[in-house]
Amino acid sequence: MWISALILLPFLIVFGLAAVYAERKVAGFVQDRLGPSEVGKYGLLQTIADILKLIQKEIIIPKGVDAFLFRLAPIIVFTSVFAGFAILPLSPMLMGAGLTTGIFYALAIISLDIVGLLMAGWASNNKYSILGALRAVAQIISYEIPIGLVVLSVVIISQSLDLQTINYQQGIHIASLIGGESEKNFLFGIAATGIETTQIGGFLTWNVFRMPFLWVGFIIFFIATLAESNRAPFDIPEAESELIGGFHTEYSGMLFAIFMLAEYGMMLLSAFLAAILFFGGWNTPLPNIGNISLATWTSGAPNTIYGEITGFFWLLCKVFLIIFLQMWVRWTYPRLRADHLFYLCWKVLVPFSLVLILLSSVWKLWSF
Amino acid sequence: MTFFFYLFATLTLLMTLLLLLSKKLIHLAFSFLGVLLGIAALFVLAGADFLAVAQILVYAGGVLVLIIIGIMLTQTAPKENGQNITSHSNIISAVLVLVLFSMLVYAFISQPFEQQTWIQNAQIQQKTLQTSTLPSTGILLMTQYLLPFELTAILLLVAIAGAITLLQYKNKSRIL
Repeated sequence: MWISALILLPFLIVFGLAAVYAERKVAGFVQDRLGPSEVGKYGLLQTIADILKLIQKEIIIPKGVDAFLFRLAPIIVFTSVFAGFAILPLSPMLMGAGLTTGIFYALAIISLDIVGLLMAGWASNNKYSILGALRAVAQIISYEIPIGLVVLSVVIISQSLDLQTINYQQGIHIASLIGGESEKNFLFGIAATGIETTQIGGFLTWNVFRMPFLWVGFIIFFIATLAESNRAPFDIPEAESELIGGFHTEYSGMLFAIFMLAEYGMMLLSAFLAAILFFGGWNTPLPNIGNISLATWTSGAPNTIYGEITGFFWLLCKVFLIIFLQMWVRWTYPRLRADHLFYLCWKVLVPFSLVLILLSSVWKLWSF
Repeated sequence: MTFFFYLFATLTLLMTLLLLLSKKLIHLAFSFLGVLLGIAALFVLAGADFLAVAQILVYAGGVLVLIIIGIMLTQTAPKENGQNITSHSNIISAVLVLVLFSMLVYAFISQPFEQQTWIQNAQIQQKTLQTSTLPSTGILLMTQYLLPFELTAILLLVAIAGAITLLQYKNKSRIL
């Protein structure tokens, strides 16, 4: 439990550095240019140079601002995002708090970062900042609804809010779970097909295959978490070209860096949640095929060192793939206009996720 | 456990004091966040995990944001010296608050807490504090309290419909 906390903060900071570099390289490839290439081999040291520059910079606190709230805001934003990491199971053994309320807690604590954004916008005493903060709040509160509904449909399928339980259910080690000894997985979650996949494992027991409509759920979740972390194409709260950075217009030096770290933390957290909820978490994607038992080979049993290493490896692979998708989308699509943004949320994503809840309930009843 | 109880209780009380004494309306709203989080922590220590998370989600993430936006949209800048919040002249409200407070204290003292069966059960079975309240809450909501639960849903639906209707008649232009 404590180990997880000790691992995650350095991991998040290193990830922040690596992700900024990756972001600029991906942007470079998408826009047919090289990206950072001067500092170090292939520009690898570019972000380290950047963060050194940010650390040395003076933190400028403008005259008209509310100095206390101005300093407090980035801390609240980062803390609330980082508190969401507390429940993440990184491997069968390595996990933070094993809460029964798991994913519900994560959704609740992440929603606190709105308060930090509002605080930043207000304390800056600046029209651009307050406009950015109001836009951010409107956007994040709206997009929390499809996220909640999609997570609910996953919870209906897995009958648990605990992320570790959800992980165990999506692989061949389901019998190691307390209370999961008699649980069985069937192809597409339908017992009537008669094809039992409990021991086949691999991608066939992931949630997106236990209930195929969850592919739609993943797309909704992906879009909504992009909006939640204020990334393009949903970056109207920051919108450099119209709001000069939105709520963090007045911030400089490390305070600005903490905002950026919170944004990348949010990306990482949403990728972790997507990987766990839809793509099997730390379970291997390779199935057992007859005598060639790929799943057993590539994922060790829980409580063994091999099991820990493979679990961590597969989870990180999935997470980085999803983060690559997020970057790809950012550099491919232009920013949405405000009314299009709310149209997408309330008239497209919410109805689809409501239908998805109905479908998952029927699916769960059907598969019994 | 006791240490954490006193820690969070002190935090909550300090935040409440800050809330009452702050001159600026916006500081008041943000110290309310501290109060809500402290109460959520006390809920966790009392074994009510679902209630604590719901408190954070609904109050800190929803109601508080609504309050802050309300303050932002209504307050005018020159009034920020705090005259209109800490006026000492309003005796009627002070009397009302005192009456309400004494009523609450009286109700609290006169209640025989020691003889309540559920408190005695909880004292005997310390294990109930360790188990999550989530499954039992869900089952109770879907069986014994199904009617109130569904009525709440209808109430919320009516509230949403009402809000949309109000907005449509009063404000034809788009905001944001």
